[in-house]
Amino acid sequence: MSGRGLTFRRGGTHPPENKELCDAASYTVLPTPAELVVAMSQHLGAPAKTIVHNRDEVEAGQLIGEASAFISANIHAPAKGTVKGLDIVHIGPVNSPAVTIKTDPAVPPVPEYDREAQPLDLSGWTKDEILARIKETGIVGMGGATFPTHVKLSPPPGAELDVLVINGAECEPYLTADDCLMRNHPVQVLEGTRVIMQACGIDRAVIGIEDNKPEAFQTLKAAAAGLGGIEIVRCRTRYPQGAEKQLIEATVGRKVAPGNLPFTVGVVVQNVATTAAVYEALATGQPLTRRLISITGRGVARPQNVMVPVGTSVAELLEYCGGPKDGLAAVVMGGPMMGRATSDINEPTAKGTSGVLFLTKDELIVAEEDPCLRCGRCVSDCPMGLVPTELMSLAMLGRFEEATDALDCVECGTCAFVCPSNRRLVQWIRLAKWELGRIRRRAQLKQKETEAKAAKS
Amino acid sequence: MLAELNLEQRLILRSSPHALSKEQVPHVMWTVVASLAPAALAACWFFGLRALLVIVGTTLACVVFEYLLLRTRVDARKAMLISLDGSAVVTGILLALNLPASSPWWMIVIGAGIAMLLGKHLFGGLGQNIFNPALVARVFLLLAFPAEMTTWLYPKSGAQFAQLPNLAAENLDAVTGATPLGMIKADGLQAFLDWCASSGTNLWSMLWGNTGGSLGETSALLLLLGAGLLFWRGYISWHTPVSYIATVFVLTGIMWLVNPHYYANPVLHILSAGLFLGAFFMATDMVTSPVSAKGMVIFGIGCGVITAVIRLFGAFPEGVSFAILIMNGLTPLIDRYTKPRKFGAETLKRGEASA
Repeated sequence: MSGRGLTFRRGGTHPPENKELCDAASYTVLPTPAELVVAMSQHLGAPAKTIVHNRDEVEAGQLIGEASAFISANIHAPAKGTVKGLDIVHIGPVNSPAVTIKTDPAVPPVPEYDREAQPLDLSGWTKDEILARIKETGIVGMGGATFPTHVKLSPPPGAELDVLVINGAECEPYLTADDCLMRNHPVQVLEGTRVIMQACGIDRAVIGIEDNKPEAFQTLKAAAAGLGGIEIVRCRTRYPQGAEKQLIEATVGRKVAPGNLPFTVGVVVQNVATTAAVYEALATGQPLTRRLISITGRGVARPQNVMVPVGTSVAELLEYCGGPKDGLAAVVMGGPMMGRATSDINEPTAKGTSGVLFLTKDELIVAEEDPCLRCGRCVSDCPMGLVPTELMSLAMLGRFEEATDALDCVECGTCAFVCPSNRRLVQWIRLAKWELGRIRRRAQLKQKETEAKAAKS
Repeated sequence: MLAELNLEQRLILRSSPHALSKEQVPHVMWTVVASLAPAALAACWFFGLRALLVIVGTTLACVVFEYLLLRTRVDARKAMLISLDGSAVVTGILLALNLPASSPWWMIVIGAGIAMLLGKHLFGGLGQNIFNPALVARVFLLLAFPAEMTTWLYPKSGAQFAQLPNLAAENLDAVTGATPLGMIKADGLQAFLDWCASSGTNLWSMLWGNTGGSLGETSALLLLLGAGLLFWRGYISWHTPVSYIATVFVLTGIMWLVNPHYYANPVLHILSAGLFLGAFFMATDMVTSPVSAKGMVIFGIGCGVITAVIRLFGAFPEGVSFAILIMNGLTPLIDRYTKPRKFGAETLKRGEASA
């Protein structure tokens, strides 16, 4: 291993880390809020189908939303209580059905992860049983993409997987929730990794951790000492190391082709938080209803990592962490590079919420856009090998059909971060992606119509 | 508690990323200014007060023209802000480094006006221009006022600085004469070599800056020092300058090998005239050169070929300005055909090959 740690080759940047704001050594447990708004659409794919009714009594961990399609996930009640309403919540651009639960004031807070966790005996578990358990417990990718885990672990027939890459990079600035998890619960992370290895029939796993988290690296390294097949590797801190394709290149040196998924190079990637959830699911049958979230930024009084039940509102978290500080200017769900700003402080957290940032105006750097200098920074720094400035120009001109490269953009935000002219490159590329999707759907519709006509005549 | 704060009215909504590097256009431009400082100061040392007047004059004129032209489109406050963002200063200093120290004041003003109007604002201002504004102005002046543009002062202090045998006219501020390439073009290589022998000029003095030429054409070493800053800050990459200079070296080298009595040796070619200035500071101009590494290499080679052809076979002794301007015009085309390779594209190729 190179002295400076492994990393991906092309592009990337190193934004100010700001991780010191939110201590990763320990976390607190949020007292169960009086009300939880549990969205049915907390994952990529179809929303879960609500299966409870208004005024129903629900138990902690009870299934309240059923996976409704191949790509969908179960939703469970995070705490005991009464269903108070079935509404629509707005989570960014998504309007999701939701179950509002008035929690029972007598119940204790959601338990923290077990500090005495023991290794699992996996001998009795078959692949299918493990996948069924993961599906039942509603586990989705907790790094932010929220792809249903049981689907991700079932690659198409013919795909040969030989390495499991576990994402402990946590390359987003500010966030320390994964760091905190690895330092406090190495057993969950490692045992969850073993479970996934068994589910995929893989005997090699690589856990990549950036070198700004030496404690997490040491803790996992020590805990993994007796376990065969699991390597802990140190990555040189660089953004976006935690992006799937970049992490695969950094840790195992394989490159996934444009438009392809990791299984094409024999790899499957999971986030450390997901592995911990998988451990819980197998060890105790506990569904995914809580997670560690970094509540941080200079706009909140007491930044900290908190164990939070799914469906807790931003306002609740803000109050728990001592309220806003002067100059609070934006609330971001997720990290500063890829997270989504919200103006709704009642927005509930979800399975994929790794952080809630309270940013001040100074941190946000609200600057006017200057003309593009064609300096080429976005081109040399784009980890995907795209030409962001050209995609932006094409989008601005409405020439979306020529901007198909936009579909390879992972929206990591490196281009817009490094742009000396503060151009909102990612925003324009997103527009191009969206328009390209519309164009494709329209073409499919037209084709269907002509086919239908041809069938009639 | 939170309800009273009325947060929802105040929270800023915008697309990610929410972090932004602190490096903004003015940082970039003023860094380029700083990188030009060693060469500009050296010009003042070599050519004396005249050089300082030319540099200050063009810079001031460029900023004033920038302001006036901006005022046709934006309000006074914004025009002031933009004209001081450093980009007009960069153009001004670059233009000055492309002028002889003997430039009359009216030529400076016309040059600055042409750079800002024809070179920059007719295209829409910062970032929109196709051609390097300073070079547009230089070529305009060269064609419009050939006599004034080729009256080169010989540096005086430089000779003392480099501890080399000096020209006869010690007590003059400076004397006039042709540039090395001009001499070769006009009188042939042998005449130039004779002159070198009699005046004590050698390749070292060219590296230091002890030859005739425009302000920035003289000291290759100090230009390199400034370029080092740009490399360090990541504002320029090696691709353009290295491919440019290497191409000139190879082509002039071939001709020198063919006939060393007629063609000057390649080291003289790369050290003389504006090649270093052009290769490191003007061919690398962000706005008017390709954005991808591959494109930059093609751009550099193109500049090198045109420069060498003009120098070796053309009517003008020097071809850097023309070469860069022609390649500026080709930049959109180069950009179109030199997209960087997408992440993982080689995997796809390998897969197809094996399939």
